[in-house]
Amino acid sequence: MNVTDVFSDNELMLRVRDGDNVRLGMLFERHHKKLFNFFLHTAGKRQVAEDLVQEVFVRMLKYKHTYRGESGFGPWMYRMARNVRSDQFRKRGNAPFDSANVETVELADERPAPAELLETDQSIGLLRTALAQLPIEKRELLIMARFELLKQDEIASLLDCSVATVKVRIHRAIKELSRIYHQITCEVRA
Amino acid sequence: MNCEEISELVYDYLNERLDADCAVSFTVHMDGCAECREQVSDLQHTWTGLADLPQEEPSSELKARFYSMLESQQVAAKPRPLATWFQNLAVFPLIPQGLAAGVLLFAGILIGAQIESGENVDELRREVRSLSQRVTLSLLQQDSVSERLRGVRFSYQSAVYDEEVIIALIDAVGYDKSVNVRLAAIDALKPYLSQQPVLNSMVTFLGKERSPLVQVSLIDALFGTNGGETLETLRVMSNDAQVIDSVREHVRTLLEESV
Ligand SMILES: [Zn+2]
Repeated sequence: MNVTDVFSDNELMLRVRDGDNVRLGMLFERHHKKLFNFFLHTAGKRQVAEDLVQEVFVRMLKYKHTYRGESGFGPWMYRMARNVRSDQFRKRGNAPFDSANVETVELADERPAPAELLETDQSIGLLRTALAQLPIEKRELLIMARFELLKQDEIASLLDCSVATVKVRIHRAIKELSRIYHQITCEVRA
Repeated sequence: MNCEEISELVYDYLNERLDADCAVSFTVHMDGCAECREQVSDLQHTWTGLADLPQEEPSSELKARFYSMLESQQVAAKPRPLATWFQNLAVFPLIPQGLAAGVLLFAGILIGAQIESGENVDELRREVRSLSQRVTLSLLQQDSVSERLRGVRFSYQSAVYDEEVIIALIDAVGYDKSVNVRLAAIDALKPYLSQQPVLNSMVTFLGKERSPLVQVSLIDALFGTNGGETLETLRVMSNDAQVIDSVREHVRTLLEESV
């Protein structure tokens, strides 16, 4: 028996569903930072990202009765997160997310001027810029896979496709990101 | 293996999930194919770079907002005045210094008052017990290390923890950034090591713990329990080159003494 079998996210959420709302606090502690970074990369500003995290947890309580736990807590939470995000875009009248909406600047603001950047800092900045230019489906896929927000089979369940398809899509996304990254790097060095 | 097959396996390769046979054929093809070599190295560079993107921290306001939302839901769900008042105080994450201990005292006075007015005493005692646990939980969620330490110490106020406090303490042992909080939480959990889930999680954390201080404290706590899995973990540690010498020495001594 593993500790995760006993105190798993799934177990906690089932209790929340059955009326033990306080346990949502444990789920918040475990997941709010990851959700925040997920939104930061796929919805832009810090303030927006925080609002969206809050909204996800509000909805978890509101729709807790819909939780069945069959495909696990992670996919359920990120499905909710994606809905929250698209509702937000609709409210703001934005077209589905594209690179023009990404606030890479906000992140970059806190960093030293380009000339002072070390090589690695610079490539992190360029990678961020490249990531922001990727279509949102690919960007979120990469974030989910690379930051280990979800396992491959959970991503498959979230996207309603097979694990093999998930792998192919991630591979394509890395390829496209590499291409954009290369392009930007060449422009910067030119 | 041809170029197309390589491209199908790249993702597993990047994640080091190729099985041994595949890995060999993969390497053989790469050695002989400059095009694949270049492509894979590009992808690897990007994939590694993604992992290096720093994770950002949300502001502390997010936490405050969440707990006040949770609190308002609680109030809506349970319209019992006394309980609600306690929860307001205890679940809201910003408890001023010293107030937590005062809360219990005050609760005692309230109980006195309620007894006179004929309320059910057992019910109120239960409420106070759950109150002290709520204070523990709330303190354990603070950003400041000294508040979290107070949370662990506060947990001693309850003779018996409920499951949620145990979970919070386990989380503290496994995930708290402060060595001091982790050490204090280990101490607080010692009476619960006979419970299999608690024991198992401590053994798991020992495997990933990097601070020698905490390692030794976990080892000492676990050693008394003598479970098969514990001994196995300790044996592995005694031969793990990543474990610093003094800790390894400590484990070996314990294991030798136990024979
Ligand atoms: Zn090739």
